[in-house]
Amino acid sequence: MALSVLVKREIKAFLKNPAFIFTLVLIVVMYSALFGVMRIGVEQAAVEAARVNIGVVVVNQTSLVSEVLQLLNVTTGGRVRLYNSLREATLTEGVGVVIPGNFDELVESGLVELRGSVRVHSIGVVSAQSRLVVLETVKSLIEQLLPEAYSRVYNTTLPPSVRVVVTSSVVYYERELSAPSFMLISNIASMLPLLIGIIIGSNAGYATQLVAFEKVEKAFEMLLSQPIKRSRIVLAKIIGASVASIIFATAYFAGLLIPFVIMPLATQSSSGASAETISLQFTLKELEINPVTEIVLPAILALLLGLFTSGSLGILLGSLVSDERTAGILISPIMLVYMGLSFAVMFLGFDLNYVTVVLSGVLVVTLPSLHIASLLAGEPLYALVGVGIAVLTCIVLVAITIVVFNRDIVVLGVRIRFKRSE
Amino acid sequence: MSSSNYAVEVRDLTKIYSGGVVGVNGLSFTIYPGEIYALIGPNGSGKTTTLRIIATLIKPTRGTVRIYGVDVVKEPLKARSLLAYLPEEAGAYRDLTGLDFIRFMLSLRSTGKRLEEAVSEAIEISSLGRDLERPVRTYSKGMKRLLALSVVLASRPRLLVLDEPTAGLDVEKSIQVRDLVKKYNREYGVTVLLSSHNMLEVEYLAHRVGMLYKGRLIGEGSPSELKSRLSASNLEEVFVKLKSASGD
Repeated sequence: MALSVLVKREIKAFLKNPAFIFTLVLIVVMYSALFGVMRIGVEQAAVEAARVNIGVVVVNQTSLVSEVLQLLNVTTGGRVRLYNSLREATLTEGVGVVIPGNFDELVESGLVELRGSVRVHSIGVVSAQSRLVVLETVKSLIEQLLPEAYSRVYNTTLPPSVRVVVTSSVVYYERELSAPSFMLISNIASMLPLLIGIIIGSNAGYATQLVAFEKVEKAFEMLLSQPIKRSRIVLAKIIGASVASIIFATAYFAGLLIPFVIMPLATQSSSGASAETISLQFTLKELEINPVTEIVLPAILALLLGLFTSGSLGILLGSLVSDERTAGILISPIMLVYMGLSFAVMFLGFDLNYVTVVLSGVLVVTLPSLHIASLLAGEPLYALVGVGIAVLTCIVLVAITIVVFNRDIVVLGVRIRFKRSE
Repeated sequence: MSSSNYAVEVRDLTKIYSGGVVGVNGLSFTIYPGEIYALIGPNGSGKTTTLRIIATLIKPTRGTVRIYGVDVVKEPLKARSLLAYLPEEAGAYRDLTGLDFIRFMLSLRSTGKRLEEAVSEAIEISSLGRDLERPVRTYSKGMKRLLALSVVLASRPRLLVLDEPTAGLDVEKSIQVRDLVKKYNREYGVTVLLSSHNMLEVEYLAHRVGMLYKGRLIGEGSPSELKSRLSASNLEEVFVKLKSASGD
């Protein structure tokens, strides 16, 4: 009996809290929108891949090659287009494959090696994967159609052991990269926002708690009446929360990285049959990326900017409410935005345009993806603009927090009044 | 008398909160250096609002407040260096020990030798002994109040602003607090502005009293002066008579 009374009281405390209700609505709206966008993105990638034409480059037009291509064209519903170079085929159709000059000899030897290439616009696993799957399908189709084509041309049966493999590459903007390298760097560009998003999101929570707990402990007004500038108090709280988050991040990264230290980082290309494995060192060398200056330092910069931005937001929210429970409820959507955005990048990839530049600058989380994307595309201006916007956002938020700390609201809190109907 | 000759000069102080709630309305009073001045009145009369404005925590809608000639709105930092504020139900950081809290708060005002002197003074004032080595979360309400009071007294401000300094404390702790306030006023010439519900306490401590009702000053003077003027036996009676005379 007593338990049910207590439980009712606890539940009522939440349900009667406008901040809690607001958060519920926000979470539903935000995640519906987020998953909607993600679903659309994945579907679009799949549809695009299903409709894409196949650009084929024939080096030596033998009877067998002609027969294979004819069968391939019929099987794919007339989607085979001929081109003079792999680059032209890839740039025009999105997917290109080269039938080598010694195709007939390779068939006789039992192993046919094709070169293929796909064009992608975004750094991310899903879009590249969907195109590479098309390439993989072409390879499989050629492998399956080869016996039929061979028997038509030579009136004899092909030995069943003939295998077809494809070495794939990715054309990203003007650069041609090996598919495993592109996938690995895409994974890094997708994972970094998630790691940073979790830390930044947590930091917003820590920062809010710093102020909210101080209010509950009744030490806040004493602190505010000391002869120190409010900006110092704000900065101290941001730095304090950031240090806590960095300690959290250290433990978090240590836990995540230990498996990679024990086992060297390696990835398998989408063309699984060819079993291409690649090391991180090889990828970085191929892409001419200095891991310290091009990945680690930008990630640290993004992390620091994110800590200051989210710290300011957290302190701002903490200063507007009067207890830690309301503060915790209000900060949740902000934490979810940071983390949700990271998941979106993982699923949707990262397109290089000024919308994503502005978003990266304001929300900071995707700044490392922006940097990697602009680096690969040879467009450093995007990254610079993104960092500029992030710095500006950070300064503006810190300034707003300092202004709020100098206003009555920091002491009085926000008072929401609901008119009761008589 | 020029403004710099007053310890506190409040002129036409008005504070209207969002939603039109009036905190104080056209409040004016002055406090002389070395004086203990008490603001008394019921809940919602504007005592805390007035003290918060003087302590630079909130800004007035209208009017001016000067502390030793320093405008609290125009020069808040300078004003804060002249005063020490003890909020109502003042607490301390629960994770710190009493000693760490004293050192932290005082280090925001002084450094070096002066800091060490202030810390020693606060330790003595608090009379918490070895309890100062325990975390604040284990303290009783009275211990927390003594701890906070020790910090504000040891910082040796020119103006001490105390909001309900003995509210919720037991008799012994209340006496201890009152004696400390009186001692610092007498020995170090610290000007004190305090608010209280406790009329007996005010009679014991204050040189002059300002009676607040609905954000307005309805009476002012020394306790004996007020009692004799209104033929009352205590300040409670004074307040009731003044309230009736104000027409509310």
